[in-house]
Amino acid sequence: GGCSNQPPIQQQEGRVNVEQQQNDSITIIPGNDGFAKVPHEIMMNIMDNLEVNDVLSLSMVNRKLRAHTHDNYLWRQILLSQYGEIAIQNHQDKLLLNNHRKGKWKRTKNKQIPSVPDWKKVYMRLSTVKVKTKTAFSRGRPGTFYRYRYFDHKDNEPSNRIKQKQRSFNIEITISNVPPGIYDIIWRMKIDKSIERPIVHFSTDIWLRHDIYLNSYEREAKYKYSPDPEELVKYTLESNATLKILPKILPLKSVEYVCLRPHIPYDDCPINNSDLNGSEIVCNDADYDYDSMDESSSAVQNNSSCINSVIDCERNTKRNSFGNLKKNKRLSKILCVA
Amino acid sequence: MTGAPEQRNVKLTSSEGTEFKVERDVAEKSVLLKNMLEDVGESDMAIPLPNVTGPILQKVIEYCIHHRDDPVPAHDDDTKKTDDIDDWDAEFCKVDQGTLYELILASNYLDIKPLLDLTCKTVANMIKGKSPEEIRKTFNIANDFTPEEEEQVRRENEWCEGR
Repeated sequence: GGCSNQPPIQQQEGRVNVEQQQNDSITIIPGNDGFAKVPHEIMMNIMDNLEVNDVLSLSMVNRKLRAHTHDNYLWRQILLSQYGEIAIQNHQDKLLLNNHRKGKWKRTKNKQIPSVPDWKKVYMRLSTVKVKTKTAFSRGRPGTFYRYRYFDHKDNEPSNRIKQKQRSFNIEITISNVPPGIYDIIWRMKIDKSIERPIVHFSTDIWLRHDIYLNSYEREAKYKYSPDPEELVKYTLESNATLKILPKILPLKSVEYVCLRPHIPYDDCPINNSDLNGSEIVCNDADYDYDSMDESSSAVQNNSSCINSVIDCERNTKRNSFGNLKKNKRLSKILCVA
Repeated sequence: MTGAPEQRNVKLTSSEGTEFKVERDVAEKSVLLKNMLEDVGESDMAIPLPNVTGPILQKVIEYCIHHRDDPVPAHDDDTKKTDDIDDWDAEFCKVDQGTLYELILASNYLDIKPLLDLTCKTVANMIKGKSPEEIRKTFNIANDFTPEEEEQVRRENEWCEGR
């Protein structure tokens, strides 16, 4: 070995220093953590080794790290690594095309075309699969059907029954050619003001179709989730608040769409569904016949990976008039976060 | 410069003034030192490294000695695998976070690409699969977002608008 010539005392001192630094940082001082000193190019090197979900995670840690994840070049690299050169080419072609048909498009979108695309946005758009939903029932809006339920009014005579209209969503989606990764299934729905606490149950069946030529499905997993009614009311009342619970529900009126999005590792949303599985589910109407649904899906794809997901959602809401319902009938505009 | 085939020692001085003697091929693992030595030529003067503390320089030298016979890494070989860290390197990186950061900064300053990549990979492995809160806990980071900002970050990430 060719090194040394180092007085041992010096080394000791150095160690102590390092330890002291550690101790200091335990009492968290903003901007004083290890990452604070790391320059951007090194953060880029670190993030190069990360998956998209991890980068998204970092962006939610603190301001400094968020700024690091905003590097457009980083997202361009991510886009390239997952979709290849063609994604960037496609995007540029699309921009040109949109530009060309300016007159036609201007009416719907008045957005200025940025000279440098926001690659993160492009990536998230590409990886978010919005799914055309359809109902397993022939009538009504996609996924919607009604049922009547009878309740005994607590305070009154037992004979005094209340007829409650209960709206259920039963949506079946087929997703094909999804790149490998962890995804969130997002429900975006609108909920009216409800007189009483809404009760929401989610039940998601994931079916994997291994062979597109066979009509055989394998039920891969079943997820059920019932958000806490208290929580739901809280978020329904606060306008425009994004629900902290999953599946995501905005204070909207009906299911607008279901989509598959790269998993965003929120603190309250674990990657594996294990603790959701354990949650207590009160499925009042377990009279669904799942088997009757899978026939209605027509998988149109020529690639092997295909996830067929049957999602049920139920909502019990006390309504006093039909007019309320009619008002919500059509919502063409997608309320999206800008 | 007149072709001295036998190894000459190079002297390095850490920020506290501690002097380290290393063989030239070890020192030349650092592109910074390599360029310096080429520019300066043979000299008995110690090279001051004011950005690197003694213990860290000791670690860096330890790494360079172990990897002295490694081939010079090819340019732009994008091996983005974080599981290809060999045992010695993994052991080498089992240090406290403060030291790890110092190593990153030192390898960046000294321009030792393999060491920089190794330490960055180590940090990346500490981040992987963690939620924001878990990352904060692991790295002692304070959440300095206001609730409004937090909401904004969420919205930024949720590009699930219509396609």
